[in-house]
Order: sequence, then C-alpha cells, then structure tokens
Amino acid sequence: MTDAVRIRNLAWRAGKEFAIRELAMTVPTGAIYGFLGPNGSGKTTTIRLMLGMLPPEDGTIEVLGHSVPRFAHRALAGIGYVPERLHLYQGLTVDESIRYHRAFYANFDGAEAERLRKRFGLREDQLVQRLSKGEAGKLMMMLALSQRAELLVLDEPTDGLDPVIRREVLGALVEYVESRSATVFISSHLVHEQERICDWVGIMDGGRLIAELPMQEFRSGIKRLRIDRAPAVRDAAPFALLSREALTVDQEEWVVRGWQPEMREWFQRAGADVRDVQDLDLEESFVELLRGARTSNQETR
Amino acid sequence: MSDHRHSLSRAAALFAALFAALVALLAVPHTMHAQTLDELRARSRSADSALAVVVVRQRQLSEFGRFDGDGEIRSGGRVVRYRKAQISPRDSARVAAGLELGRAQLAARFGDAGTALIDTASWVITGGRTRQRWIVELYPQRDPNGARATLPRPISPASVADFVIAQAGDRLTATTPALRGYSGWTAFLPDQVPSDEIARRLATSWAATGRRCATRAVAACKVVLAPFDAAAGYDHYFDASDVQAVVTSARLPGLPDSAFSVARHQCLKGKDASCALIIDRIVPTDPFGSSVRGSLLAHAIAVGGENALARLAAQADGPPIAILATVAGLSEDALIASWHADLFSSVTHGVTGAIPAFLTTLAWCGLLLLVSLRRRFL
Amino acid sequence: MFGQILYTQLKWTRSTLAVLSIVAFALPAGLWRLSHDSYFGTATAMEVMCGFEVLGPALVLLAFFAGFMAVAQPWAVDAAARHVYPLSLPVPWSRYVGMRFGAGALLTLIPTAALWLGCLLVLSMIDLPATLNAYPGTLAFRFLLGALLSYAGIFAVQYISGRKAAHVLLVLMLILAIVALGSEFSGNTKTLVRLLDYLFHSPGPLAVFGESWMLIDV
Repeated sequence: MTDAVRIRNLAWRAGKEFAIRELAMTVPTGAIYGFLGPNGSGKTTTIRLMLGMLPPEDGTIEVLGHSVPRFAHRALAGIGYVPERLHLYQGLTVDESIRYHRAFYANFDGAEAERLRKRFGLREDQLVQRLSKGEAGKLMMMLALSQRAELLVLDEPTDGLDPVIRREVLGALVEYVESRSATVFISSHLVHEQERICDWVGIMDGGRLIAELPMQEFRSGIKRLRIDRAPAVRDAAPFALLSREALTVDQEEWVVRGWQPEMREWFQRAGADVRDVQDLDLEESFVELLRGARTSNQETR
Repeated sequence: MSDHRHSLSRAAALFAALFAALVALLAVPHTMHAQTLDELRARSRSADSALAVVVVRQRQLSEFGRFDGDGEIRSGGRVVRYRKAQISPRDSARVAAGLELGRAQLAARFGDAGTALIDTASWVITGGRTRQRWIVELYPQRDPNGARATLPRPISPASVADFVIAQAGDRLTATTPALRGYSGWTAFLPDQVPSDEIARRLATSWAATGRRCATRAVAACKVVLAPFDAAAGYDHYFDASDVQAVVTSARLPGLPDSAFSVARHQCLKGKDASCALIIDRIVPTDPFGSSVRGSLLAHAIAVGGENALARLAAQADGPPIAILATVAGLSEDALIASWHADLFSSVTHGVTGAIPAFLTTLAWCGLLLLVSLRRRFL
Repeated sequence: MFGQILYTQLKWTRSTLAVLSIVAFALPAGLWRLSHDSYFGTATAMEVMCGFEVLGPALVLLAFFAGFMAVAQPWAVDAAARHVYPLSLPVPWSRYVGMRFGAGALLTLIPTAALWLGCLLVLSMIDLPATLNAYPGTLAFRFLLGALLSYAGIFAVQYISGRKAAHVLLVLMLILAIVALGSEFSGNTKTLVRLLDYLFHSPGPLAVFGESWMLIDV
C-alpha cells in the first residue's frame, strides 16, 4: 500500500449552493499532508466524506486500503480524528472520556494517554463541558495520538488556540510522527503553520482541489515576474500563469507556477524581457494560486 | 279546566324528573363504599346524564301518552313516532335501518319468539337540546318506566339495533314473572355483560356468599343468583366474620359518630338489630345487584341457542335458576359452573395474558429496532 | 464497549431514572397510604384493587415516560454534536445503534424493579382474601414491556433521520385524523373502533397498553 488516502472523481452536493466536484486526491503513506483552503472551500466536507460520515454521490474513496463509506468502520480503526469543534461527550470527565474512547480502539495506549494528559495539564476529574477551548483541543489531540493510529486526520486542530497551546499541540504531533512514521492529514487555513510541518500540500477552493503538490515545489515554484513587452499569447508557456497585471504601458507583472531559471529563454524568443524574478512566501503563493484558479474558472464560464 | 289539568301534569312531570335526578345523585354517596371504582364512575356518569337529560325528560314525560309526532317509522308490527322538526330525515332513516337490523337479528336467532318481544309496542323518538348537547332518545310510548336509550350522536343503525335487542331482553324479564329482579338489558347481548366487573364484585364482596361463589362454590352461587330476598335477613348473605369486618373497619357510615359507636358496640355484643342497621348503611340492600343475575340470564340464553325462548315459554313457572337451567338445556349445577367459568376466565386471561403481549411487544420492538439500524450520515 | 455505552447512558439518565424509580416505587405504596386514610379504617385488598384501576393509566404513562427518557437523553447528547463522535468510532453504525438500544432497554429495568418492590411492599401490608390474587410480577413485567415498547418507538423515530421520521408520523396522524373525522361525519364509528381495537389489542403495536394493569385481581 503506497497511498494512505486515494480519492477519485468524488462528487457531493449540499443543496444548490455548494458542491464538491470531480475531486481527486492522493495522500501518500507517511506524508504530512497540509490541506489548505479558505473558509467554506469544502475542506471539512471532504474530510467527512473521507471518514464515511457523508455519502458521496459519485466517485471512489479509499482510506488505508478500505473502501469508504462501505467499510468506513475498518478504516476508522486506524484513524485518529480531531474535528474542528469538540465532538466528545460534554457530560463526561476527562478520565471517563479516555475510558470511553479506549473501549473502541484495540491499539489504544493507556500509558501514552496518561503521559499526554499530564503533559497537557488536564485533570482527570475535569468535566469536558468545563474545559477551555485550548484544553478541549488538547484532549481531542491526546485521544487521537493515544490510539496509535496509522493516519491522523486533523481538521483545523489549532484554530482559535493561543500560541503556547498551539506549540504544545503541534509539538506532540511532530513527536508522534517522528516516533511512529504515521500519515497526517491536516486541514487548516493557517498557511504558515502548514509550511513548518507539511511535506505535501493540497489546496481546495469552491469544492475543487486546485492544486496538489510537494511542499518543496509549492514553496519554490511560484514566482512573481516583472516583464517588459509581455507577450499576449501564453498558451504555449512552459509554466502555469496564475495571474497577470499591467504595471505600465509596456510592463506587466506575472505570477507563475513551475518556474525554472531556464524559462527566461522562452520570453526572449517571444521578444520579451524578464526584468525581475521574486520569491513569494507560502501565504502569498497560496493567495496567488487561489486568485489564478478563480480567474481561470471565470474565464471558462 | 283542561288547561289547569295540563299545567298540573306539567308541574308533576317536572317535579318527578327533578326528583329522579336527585335520587340518581344521592345514590352515589350512599352506595359508594361497596363499589368498585368502575361502578362509581358509571354511577357518576349516570348522575351526570340524569342531570343533563332532565330538561328533555320532563318534556317527554309531559308529552307521554299524547305524543302527536308528525313522522312515522314502521318496522314489523311496530310504529315509531317522531317529530320531523326534532329528528332529521337522515337520522330517521338510520333509525329505520337500525330497527330493521335489530329485528332481523332477533328473528335470525329466535324466530318469531324473538320478534314478538318487540313488535307489540309503539315507540317514540324525541330530540332536545340541553346546554351541552343534543340528545335523542328512543323509548316505548306507553310505558314511562320502560327502558329507554339515549342514542349516540351521530345515530348509527348498529346502536339502534343494539337498543332494540336490549329492549327485547327487558321485555322478556318484564313479562316472565319468575325472572323479575333479573336484569334483562343484556339478555340477548352476552358480549355486553360486564363480566370483569361482576367477577370482581363477587370476589371482593363484603358478603361471604359472594366470595364463596367466586371460589366456585355452587351452593353459594345459587344464593347469589336467586332473586334478592329482603325478608331473609342479612345473615342469609353475610357471615358473622363479615359483619365483624364491616362493623370494625367502617368509620363513618353515614351515622353520627356517637350513634354509630353505640350501634357498633351493640352489634359487637351480638345485637342483631344494630348489626342490621350498620350493614344496611354500609352495604347496599341487594348485595350483588341485578346485573349479576342478568349475566346468568344472558349466559343461559346464549348456551340455550335458538330454542332458548321456546324452552322458556314451555316452563315459565318455578324457581328462576331451574327455569334458566331448562332454557340452557343443562342441569342447574352445570349451568352455574359454565356461567362461572365464562365469567372468570375472561378476567383472569386479561390479567395474566402476559405471554402473547410479551411476544407481540418483542416483535414490535424488533421491527422498530430494525428500522433504526439503517446507516446514518451527518 | 457495551459496558462503556451502558455507563455513559446511565450517567446521562441517572437523575431521570432516579425520579422515575422513586415514583414507580411510591405509586403503589402511596396508594396504600391513601387507602389507609380513606373511608375505611384500614386498607383492604379491594381498595388496593380499586386503586389500581385508577393507577393503571398512571403506570401506562409512567412506562411510556420511562421509555421516552431512556432514549431521548442519550440521543440528545449525540445530536448536540451532530453525531460526529459516534460516526467517527470504528464500529458499524448498526452495531453502535444496537448497543445504544440495548443499554437503554437494560436501564428500563431499574424503574421496573422499583415498581415491583413497591408492589411487594404494598402486598406485605394487606391480607389478601382467597378470592383475589396478586400479580406483582405480571404488573412489573407489563410495565417493562410498556417501557420497552415506547422506548423502541421513540428510538426508531429518533434514529431514523429526522425528516423521514416526521413524515412517517405525519402520515400516521393524518390516517388517524381522517378515520376519526370520517366516523364523526358518516356516523359509522366502526372503522375508528376497529382501528383502535387493532392498535390496542394483540397483535396490535400498543397491545401491552390495552391490557389489564392490575396488581390485585380475581
């Protein structure tokens, strides 16, 4: 088995407003896959489809080698899931939550749960409903990590947490990945956080996966070019043009993906001249990618 | 003069109706102690009903004997008169259908002997509005004390037919001297005999005779099922221990405390008259009621089948239980044993019928669980 | 796994179960107490029997309520988080629902036991004449069946998706309303009576509620 998650041609619809269309996604085993996208882009829906909580209209989903939703329960035995909002039972204490959770997972590591509980500073007798947002996040992460899961699916796990707790949670996650070489699927709109830990990136927008690439490629392949006498035709370009903007009468600014230094020659052959090549940080790259995808969407319509 | 007599008769009728309602109401507290709650409820309903129909009843009584309805329904040899202003054509059609249905049912079961019971009287239907509801009553014209029925609204042929059949039973006991004191209302309607209520009344009776009858003592049942004998004295029905129990457990049987204390004291010392006084206050005069005897009548006719009425006509004199045994075609003991089994089996089956209910409930629970197991998504 | 589900369900419903159990226990005993102070100096078997004629419907309601609470509270806890937690657990949905059902069904035994004990207490205080029999076991069993049935019904309504359940309920109520109105206007009450007969007599779904709920009877 080489892919932890393999989704093909996935379609799902919620009313008239929102739909997931032709989604194809591959999460390699052992990868830390950052699932980026603006709010409402379909990240949580995709995760719920992936875990068998929603029925797909079309397409196939395979998670840890099991077809979902049919055999979702088998896949879930190897998945540690942290949803964006607290899903645990509010009337139980921390200790009761641990006992309840471990009853369902054969590989649950009680000692690890105890170690993490102490590390996160959670009291056994604390009621879940009285936990702060940070404590609730820590409890969910603690349970997911104690399962010894092959795949961790984390939906905005650090959203709304203060930097100290965020660091604690991410620290525990990194330790876990180092010790168990598990696959992590982490959804977030906090691009900088993903930049530090992910080795793969998938970007969702409007129910479509607009990009899926290794982090290295994402980080280095998106550039801002300043071009004199920019060519009008761009179809034959060896890179993907994400956006173009006129700066002066004969100067334009292009954002391109898949840039290599030797591609300057292509401009020279078209009578243009690349004045400047700028690196973009991950957030700028993310924004430009989204802008490019939306422009191309509008044009195709 | 005629006007004077008319207004006098109206006043008398009104007074009689009010008095009847008052008696119905007073009967409730007076007999409360020895009744099951079902009976109390029934009595309470009848008291309500008595109040509700009092206006209509006084009108009916005032019109009794000179009812000049402008509508007529004929069924067999019977004429039912009514006022078109009170009863709609639709309702009168239903009454006609019900009369025919009841007559047909009696004919099918007992032939001419059955229809003869109802073909002799002229009946009247009257309608009137009380404050709460519209009441329609059906009753024999020439008999102010004859049984009458308040027909359920809307009138259905089935309810009229039931009334006709009940009326036939009533006439049967009225016209057979040996069966006076037996409730005839359910004589041809064994399904409407309140078996469970009667069985419970016997089993919980203050009188030992009733309780012994509940335990299948045939001799005791013969006492219970014979017409009430007021001259026999309370010890005909009550054991000394019953009297003791009644006297010692009763607190305020409608007598002033001091008077009651004296009577109780004297009774416990063995003074029969005091015991009789207390028994009379606490327990109804007829300790079992006509409906218990009526249940035997209904059972005998049901067992006797289509020749039951013919057998009754052939032997209308003699002790009532012997007559009913003849009607059923059984010996007295066999009739009582069969009546007892019929009465009590329905009750005990109702109480202990847990296994069918268990299986039914399990089946439904299983079905509902099966429906719930369907895969759920968010 | 089942043990934990049972534990959580007990924790969520314990207050309600405690109240229901106290009421179930106290109903027969309270009745005896009321009878004790009633018209007669001491409660007789007959009075307790009569009392149960009144108490029967109260027990039916209590059984229904016990069933309702045994399912409503746990469902509400799951529904509060839109069932995300149970759906993320590695058990087939049918197994999870089956375990929830089993746990709730087991918990209805608590008020049932309380009722049974209450009945035994009452029976220990009265002298039963030879003509009457006591049915504490039958009554408690009937209570359990009633609670189970209402539990299963409400459980089904809750766990089938909300809209579908609402549609099914609406259709059933419409049928009942049409039959009732039809009987009222046509004067033919047979259909309504037949429908109620079917519902409340074996093998109808509500047969257990239509039976005799007596502690003491002939």
